[in-house]
Amino acid sequence: MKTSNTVYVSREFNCTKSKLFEWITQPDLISKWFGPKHLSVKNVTNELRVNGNYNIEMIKPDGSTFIIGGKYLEIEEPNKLKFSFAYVGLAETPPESTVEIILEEINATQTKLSLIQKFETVPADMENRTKAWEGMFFKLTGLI
Amino acid sequence: MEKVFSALADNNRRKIIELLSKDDSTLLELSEQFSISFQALSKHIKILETAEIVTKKKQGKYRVLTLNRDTLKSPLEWITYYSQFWNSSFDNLEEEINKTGE
Repeated sequence: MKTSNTVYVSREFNCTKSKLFEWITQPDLISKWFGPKHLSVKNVTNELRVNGNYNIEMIKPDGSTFIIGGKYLEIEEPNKLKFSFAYVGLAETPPESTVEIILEEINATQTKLSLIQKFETVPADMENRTKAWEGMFFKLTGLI
Repeated sequence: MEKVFSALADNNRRKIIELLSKDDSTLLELSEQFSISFQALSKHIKILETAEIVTKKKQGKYRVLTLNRDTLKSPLEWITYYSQFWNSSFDNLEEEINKTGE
């Protein structure tokens, strides 16, 4: 049982560290992979500098859109990227979080990506909101 | 729910939860696992009790701390959602990278 407000995900990719850094920072590349399968990306804009904003416009299966966005907090090309992560335009908004991505070279052709997402900010009316958006997400992910 | 998140936003309290997830424990037993003072630990336990994550029950002359698993269910569910969000995204990324042969 995992008991924390932190999400950890790690994955190995068949490309170099600098190539993987491009995949996670270039808008045209982000739009090709970001989000679970039931969501698609409509548009990505970013200003890749510390305190620069990024915006990822997502399309839900019903055609409506919402934005996942935030600010870049740390950029250490091609090793590390840290950014705030928030939802805009959803009736029920999940709490804000900070996402840190660390890239490590395994060998000349493979790179390990580690992602840590920490939820630190809790909306004041969390108690009322949580059930609604939880239900929405779980429906979307097919868990219910 | 908000209390639960505030309660979870601390390393010591997360460690308490982790230890209690393995087995019920008395405050004294827990204190052996921490370098912080007994008073500080009591304070953390109090916060966990207020958030209803931990319950204190009297067993004989001891007070035993138990983890309230139901309280943690909701936060754990949406943490699961986010793990899936990223895992699914990285499935796509893996596919794209392998496609380009980079």
